[in-house]
Amino acid sequence: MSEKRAVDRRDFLKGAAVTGAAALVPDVALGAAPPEAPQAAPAQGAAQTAESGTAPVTAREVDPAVEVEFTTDVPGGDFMVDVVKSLGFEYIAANPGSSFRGIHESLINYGGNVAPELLTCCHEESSIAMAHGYFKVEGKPMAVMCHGTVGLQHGAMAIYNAYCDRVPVFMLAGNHLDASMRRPGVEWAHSVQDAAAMVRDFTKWDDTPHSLPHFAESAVRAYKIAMTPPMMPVLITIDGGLQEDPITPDIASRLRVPKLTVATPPQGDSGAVAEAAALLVNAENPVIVVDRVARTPAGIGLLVELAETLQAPVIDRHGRMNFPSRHALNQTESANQVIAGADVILGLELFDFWGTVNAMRDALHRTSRSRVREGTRLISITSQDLFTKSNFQDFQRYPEVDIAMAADAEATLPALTEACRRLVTDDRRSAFGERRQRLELAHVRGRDAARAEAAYGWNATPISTARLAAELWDQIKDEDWSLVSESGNSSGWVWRLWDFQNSYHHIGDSGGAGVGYGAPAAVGGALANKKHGRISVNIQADGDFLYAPGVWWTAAHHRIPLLTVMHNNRGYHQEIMHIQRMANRHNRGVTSARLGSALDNPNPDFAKIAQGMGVHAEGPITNPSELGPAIRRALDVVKGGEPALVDAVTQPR
Amino acid sequence: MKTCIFLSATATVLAVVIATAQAPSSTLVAASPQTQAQGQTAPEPTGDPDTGEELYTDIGCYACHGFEGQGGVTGPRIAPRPFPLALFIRFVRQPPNQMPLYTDRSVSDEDLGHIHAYLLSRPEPPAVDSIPLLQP
Repeated sequence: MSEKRAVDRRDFLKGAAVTGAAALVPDVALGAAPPEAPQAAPAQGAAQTAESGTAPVTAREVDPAVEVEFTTDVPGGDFMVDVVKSLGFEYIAANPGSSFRGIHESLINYGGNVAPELLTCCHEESSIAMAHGYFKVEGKPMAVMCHGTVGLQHGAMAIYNAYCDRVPVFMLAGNHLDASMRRPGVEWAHSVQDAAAMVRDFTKWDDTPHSLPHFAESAVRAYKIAMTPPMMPVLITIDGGLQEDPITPDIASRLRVPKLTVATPPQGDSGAVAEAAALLVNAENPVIVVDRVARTPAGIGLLVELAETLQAPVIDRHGRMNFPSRHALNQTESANQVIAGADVILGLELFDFWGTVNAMRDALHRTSRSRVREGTRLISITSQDLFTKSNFQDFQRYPEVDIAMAADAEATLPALTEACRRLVTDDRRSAFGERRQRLELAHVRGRDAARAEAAYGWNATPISTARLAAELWDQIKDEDWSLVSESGNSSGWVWRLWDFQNSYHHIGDSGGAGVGYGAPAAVGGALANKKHGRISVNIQADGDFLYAPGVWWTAAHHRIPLLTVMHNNRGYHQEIMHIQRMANRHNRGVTSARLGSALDNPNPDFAKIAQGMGVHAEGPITNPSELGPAIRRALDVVKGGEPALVDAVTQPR
Repeated sequence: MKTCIFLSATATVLAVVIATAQAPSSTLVAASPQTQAQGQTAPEPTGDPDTGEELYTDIGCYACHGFEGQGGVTGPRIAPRPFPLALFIRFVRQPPNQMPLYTDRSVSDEDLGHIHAYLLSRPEPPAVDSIPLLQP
């Protein structure tokens, strides 16, 4: 490759020499002066003008025929594709943009549009949220391309969600650094000194490479940083000239793709692990609270092992698919009571440890109180302690814990479980057995209570969220299913009624609670599930749907099987409740809280919108008895490899 | 863009304020008003259920408790057996939990009576054993 590039370089230099001699033709002389007439070099010309005090001569491009000399079959973008391919991306998502046209073309014609395959997206927020959802199923990042200016601004919310959720996204942002080479007009508006600045507060690392070898090193470094817990999005700004211009011989001689070695996640300190184990084994009521602990499919088994070693209850905050929902030790149904009775609490990758052990009342005066009894010992294992940024406050209130391990929880679980096993005596084993019996009974009671509770409003119109979850479960329970989003805030019924076991059964939530995540994350998750033949399921909020509905076209265009059931409560319902709270507080207009937050008059017809994007869709369905058959018909479409949507009009929560 | 989700601390606070013996078993339904009211004298309907239904929607009760009063993550179940009316009114005026309070400037006692009647008029749920989709 380097030899060929050297030839191109010679060709390029030859062309450049010719051009340098002939390119600058004064407008006034065009047509009068012979094309072969040598003109002054630009720097020299400018100097002469300054000295003479005459008006500058306007230069323009030469005979377009000379442009032929600039063609190349080895542009910088091809090497960028080599680097991108070396990182093993399956897909690269983008809404097309001229600032990355060079690498876009290279991906198609040099890279063959395979590994990575381009995903045509209709909004950068969709591209990035799709990458977010994809990672949480597949466990490896998706690449994204966008404009370094308008594209990053569109995508900023999705980047923030991924950042808060500690999910890696590998982003390439196009830019034009050389101001003298920018096209007038739009290209200036689409150029920026420091593209990454606007998202630097919520990305883990970024760089703006000045050469192709620099790009290679930065791209591999970015991947490694993104994949090291705590994982986060990374950004490489790629200059237009670097993508489009030929590779010069001196650069070609330095081109190589660095070796990628992903860092092993850090384990907790052995002394701290031993101390934690002693507390847990000797506790009368230890509780394990988990949020983003299962980083890999192995995480569930490791957590089950620890819980069963201690016969300790597990409270799942559902940031990841952490713990089987029907395991006897899953006590999430009684979270508050279990936490209130704990004498030792182990928090694993908790997004909010303070909020786990304290309650705040959002009333006229905000007050807080401890949820735990005095003397309860708190142990934290989280990679969040390894990397915290300042500006955005997603790090939550400071938790006062007794042991804080700055480490990856999943990587620490084997050592912690083993340390606990070593300390278990016969007496403790006996106590653990009794505890297990109590917890099994409590688990059964919790499930029975949930089923009984689901019956309330069972036949109501609009459809209850419990009924929605039950109808959906009835259709998918015998399939290899994957819940790829639940943006509908449907009162947690899926967790109460469904049997979650496998790592892909659930992918957590958005992280930053930025609306607009649900639909594209579901499409991204479904794309990851596609090659595994899984049935991807999405409970879709109406407000979220409307942020960037072009993602349904992307799902149809790329034949991404995805079963979506709307949780259509006709409004940004969270905000309706907030406005209600304000009206009550201010003693006025308590009947007006829906203004500005309701999505009615007219009711958006989500089925029609989806149909217009090429997606099979039915609805709106208001009669609960019609929901099951509609889901069944949609499931048949999904099994045929296409997306399908059922618009169910539902109770608020 | 988006705000937080209300995390209901209803269960625990209610359990303190209204002393009852029943231990809660669910974060969503535990110690809901109707659960707490069990065993007490059934309240007398004092209002008009149809008027109550309209008020229930207009003043936003449905937002947290659902159109049927069935409850959810943001508010406990309050139908078909709400608190006795006097306690119901006291609770609305001085909620001890996350519920936003309604003063008599926002809703009168008479209107709360209508709402109370609406809640009482809600049908009992079908027996869980009669619903195939809810079998374990």
